[in-house]
Amino acid sequence: MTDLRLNGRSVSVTSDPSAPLLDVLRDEIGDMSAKPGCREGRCGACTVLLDDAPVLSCLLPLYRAADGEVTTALVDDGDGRLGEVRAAFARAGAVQCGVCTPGMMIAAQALLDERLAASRAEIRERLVNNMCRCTGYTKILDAVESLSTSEPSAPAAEPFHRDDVAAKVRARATYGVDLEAPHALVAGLVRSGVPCGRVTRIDTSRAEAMPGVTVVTAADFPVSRYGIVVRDQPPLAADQVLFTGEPLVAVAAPDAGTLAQAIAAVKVDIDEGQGVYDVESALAPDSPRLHPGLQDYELSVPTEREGNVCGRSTVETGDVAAAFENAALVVEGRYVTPRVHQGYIEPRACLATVAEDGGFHVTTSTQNPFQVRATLSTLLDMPEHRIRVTASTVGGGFGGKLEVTFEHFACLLARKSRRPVKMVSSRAEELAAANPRENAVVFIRSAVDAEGHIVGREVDCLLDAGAYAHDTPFICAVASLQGTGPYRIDNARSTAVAVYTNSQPTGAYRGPSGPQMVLAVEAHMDEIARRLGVDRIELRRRHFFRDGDVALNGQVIEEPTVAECMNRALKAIDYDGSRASDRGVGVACAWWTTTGGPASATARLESDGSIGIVTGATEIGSGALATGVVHLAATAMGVGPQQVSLASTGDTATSSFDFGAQGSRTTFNVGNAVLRACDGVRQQVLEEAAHLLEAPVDDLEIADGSVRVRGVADVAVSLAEVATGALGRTGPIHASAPYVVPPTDFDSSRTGPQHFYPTFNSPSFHCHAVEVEVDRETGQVRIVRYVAAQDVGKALVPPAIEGQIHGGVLQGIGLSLYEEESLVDGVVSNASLDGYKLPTVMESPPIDCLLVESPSAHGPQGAKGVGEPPIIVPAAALVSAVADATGQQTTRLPMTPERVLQHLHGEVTT
Amino acid sequence: MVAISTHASPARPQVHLPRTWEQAADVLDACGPDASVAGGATYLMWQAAHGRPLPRHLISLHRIPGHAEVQAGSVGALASLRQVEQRAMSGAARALQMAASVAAGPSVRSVATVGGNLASGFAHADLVPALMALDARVHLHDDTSLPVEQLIEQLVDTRPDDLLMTRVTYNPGSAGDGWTGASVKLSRRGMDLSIALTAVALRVVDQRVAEARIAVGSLCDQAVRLKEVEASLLGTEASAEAVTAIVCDEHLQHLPFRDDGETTAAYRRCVAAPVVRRAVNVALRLGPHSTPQAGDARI
Repeated sequence: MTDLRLNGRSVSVTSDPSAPLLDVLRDEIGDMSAKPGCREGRCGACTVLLDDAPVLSCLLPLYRAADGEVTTALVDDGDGRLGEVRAAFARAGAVQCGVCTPGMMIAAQALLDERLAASRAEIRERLVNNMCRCTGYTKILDAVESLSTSEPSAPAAEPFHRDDVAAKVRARATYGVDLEAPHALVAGLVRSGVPCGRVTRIDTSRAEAMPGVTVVTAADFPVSRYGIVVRDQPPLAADQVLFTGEPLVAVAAPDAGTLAQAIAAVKVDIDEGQGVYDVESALAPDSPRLHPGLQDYELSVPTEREGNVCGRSTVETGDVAAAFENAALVVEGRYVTPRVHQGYIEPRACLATVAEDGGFHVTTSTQNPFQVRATLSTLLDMPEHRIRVTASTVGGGFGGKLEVTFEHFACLLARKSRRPVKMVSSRAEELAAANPRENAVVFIRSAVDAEGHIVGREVDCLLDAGAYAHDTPFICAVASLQGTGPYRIDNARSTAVAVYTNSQPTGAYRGPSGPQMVLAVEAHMDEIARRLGVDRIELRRRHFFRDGDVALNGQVIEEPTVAECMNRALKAIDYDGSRASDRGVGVACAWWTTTGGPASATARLESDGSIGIVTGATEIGSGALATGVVHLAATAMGVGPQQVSLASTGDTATSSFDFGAQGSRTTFNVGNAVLRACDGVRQQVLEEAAHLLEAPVDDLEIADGSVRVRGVADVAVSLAEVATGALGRTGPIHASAPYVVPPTDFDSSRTGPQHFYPTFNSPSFHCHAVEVEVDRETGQVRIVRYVAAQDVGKALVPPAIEGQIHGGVLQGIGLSLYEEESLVDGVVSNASLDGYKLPTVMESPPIDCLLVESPSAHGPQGAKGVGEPPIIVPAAALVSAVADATGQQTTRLPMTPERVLQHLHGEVTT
Repeated sequence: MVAISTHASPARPQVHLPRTWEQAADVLDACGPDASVAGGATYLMWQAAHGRPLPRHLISLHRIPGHAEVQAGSVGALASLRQVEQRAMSGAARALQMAASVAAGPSVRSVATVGGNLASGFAHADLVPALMALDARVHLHDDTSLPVEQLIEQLVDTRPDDLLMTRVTYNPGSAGDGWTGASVKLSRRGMDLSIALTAVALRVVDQRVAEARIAVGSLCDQAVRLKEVEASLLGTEASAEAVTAIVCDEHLQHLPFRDDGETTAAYRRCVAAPVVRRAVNVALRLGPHSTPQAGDARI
């Protein structure tokens, strides 16, 4: 027994004295405020105070904590400064997914308690142990700085409402990793230790003989293979393994210690085979085939497949061959980008229970509960209506939590053990065996005429799908649309190919294929300008889309804002200003899509006059629901955003279908559904108010939380009175509405009949400009300032949009300068947050957000998707800037100091 | 190995919490090679988080009273890195303060101790080069002492857990005598392990370098004194230009540069001289009395 002082109270615990305080807090005391983001002392999500100092509870043994006073983010506001910090975080928009928030606030409190006059630079130094993947840190710094008594460098933020912020700053939100159920088992996986081989033995008998242990193997699944596009992936490997980390056996046990023993007790023998580890080798005619039976696999949707290719998308227009034949100049490039992880701080986690009817209720950290349900239905051979999937609070997703991850294992283990089963991914599993962004090789080639116009373009993008197709064939489709960028090129072919290799399957990550393709297109534009001897800005202006132009896919471009974005970005970065010789400016432009997909929503007038929203969509931290949709509902209903609540989200049992939090689509599509539902509610409100006020409906207006007769003072009835009145007369006021965006016209002769993603719906345009300083002795690239000019359609909640831009830009900076899953024969050799270098607050530069408004015809109030574009441009802008500073264009990411030095020394390897 | 598990749950050690050095020594004797000594235990816990087994016996020294003082010329082995970082230091000793300020992250420095940093044998232990530059001696519980460089040499062969360090004494190089000091770290990100950390103690008399002690950590498997560089600086003008002219690649190319997860030996070879030059120049810029600002200890 160990006595602990926690949040001003005494607690006795029985955990082992050497156990990490994090586990004691969560597993024994039930204080879930400290989050297990990495369990290796890097992410800081588990930060608590020991006496007055911030400590990482994952590295702090219980016996050490027992000699001090432990404070977590659950402490009452009455003591200390945490209440002020909570309020400042909420006010500044410093909270998105919120999983880092408790630890971040604790670290901020410790700093301010110690030094109230902390400068922004000092704040950075003191928050460096706490990672945030959503915000880009800017608004966190703003929040802390707003409490500092040092000279403020930023004006105080205008407060804005976010529906979920109270629970998050109070550390009361329940994430997937926080899920609990009485008598729940914990589960894990036995995974392949080799990248390729034939399985000769799986012996689970010793594990199964252990008390309380349950084991599931491939034989327990009713289907042998599944997949979103190609049904190529076994739920558990039985005969062969195709990547290191491939699941072989799922194991559940009463506690983590027994689970580890049980996993160790499973014996697996594999005859290692010859693998193939890079896309170009995999395409060679004599390359080993990962899936010799590929042609026999079922398809979920049609896709091209042959050899090691599991998907191919081509878009073509004009006479490309003739353009190159007649060219005055041909410019070629090859750009290589790394495999990068989404980096969500909350690892994937779920809890499965068996329902009374034998179905399942799965609560999971997902972006797309309906997709999870659909895949579970396939994997478990069970009708969808018997499976309920509920999204927990999601601690970041960025595309990595769109599909089933291990919910199917948890379900079968729960059924077999007759106990709830919880699964949480370790950080090593996340990095080595989840579905990161595809590493890619992009070949690009342009034909230029004698007047300096680009008249032809060929692009071949090779996306590494890893061992199974997953959603990479879809991503090929998105990639193929980007071969010409936001430029008019009349003769072009753009092809993207998904290629199997013996490595973890890759998948969607915010702006899928965007960073790779924008880098290739924009770096290539710079190179063409250099070869022509013309200014890179002038070359872009020559080719920008103009109103009425036809894009590569035949889509007509309406009112493109790319030139305006560039003009504003250039001005903000002082493009023509003089600079030191070690500095350079980069500029890159892009266009992007607002994904459609069906949505639905119910709006209801609550008896207190507030508006409740029910939707199957999921708030994953971006604020798309919590700020964007709330803003739309509030505006439509004439109330303040505080009067709108998200009553139920992301639950397949309580709401209609939604296509998921992906593709910058939530505010656009769910917002439209909510506006339509609010139209229905407004009509019912007006009818009830007409009855109460004895006035014609046409004479009424809804504003400021009441319904009033136009032009007549004091003749009004509150929305609460309307709601109550309706209950007794016509019943509760509510309305539901579906939404699906009208299709965008395109030319199918250019895309082929089976293109997965033939158009960019409500396209947005972008220009980023960045000034860097390159240290010629160390190769370090320091970002002096960054400007992102983004066409947002209509800026619904500007601070929330800025938060998206800050976060997306820093993720883009991460993949440009720091992040890379180092693959050695298909194995991720840096599967920890020590080796995989997510940007910290020290790497977060000042970012100016320029919101360009160009309303979408279909967007709610004109809004376009805003979440993905910020990540797709930084790589291109930074490569451009480093080239400007050094005279050398880097063609491989990330631009590590070592690679930059190699370029400077002329030792480039590709 | 054909199957892997990422759900390691390390066997738990027996924890010993001695209140005196004698008790600690007795437990260490009794448990022999199955025991590890810990100050803040951050390194042990970090290793365990990366799959290394915990020892069967863990002897935590944190309840032993005293030995956490941070004074001019002396630092208790049980002082936290945070305590060292927070202690305003001038003269050569500032190198120690600056090294502490960039070791790991602030939430680790709250608990990690000076003794733990020294005894870890970790190539990236950032206090080691600073203490080398300050001619430090490590004092053990049996009243013996040894130079920190000798300790680091011994750690190659000796289990560091055999050592019960009580304090470290060093030459503080007072500002009044013209001493200045600095530590400068090169790393990929703010809280990463060092690619290189250079610690410098210089005495400047009449605008010329009269004494110099320089050590680098993380470049090699062990921190090393750069005596050739030190010698080359003696008598030279105390200016950035002079330092830049003198400290060159040739002084450092003989070092056995380290290849690890942070970067390659080839890169370390490229940046070694620049990092040393910058540390010397930071020390000169700060002079004997200035307080380092955020960022001074980083490249």
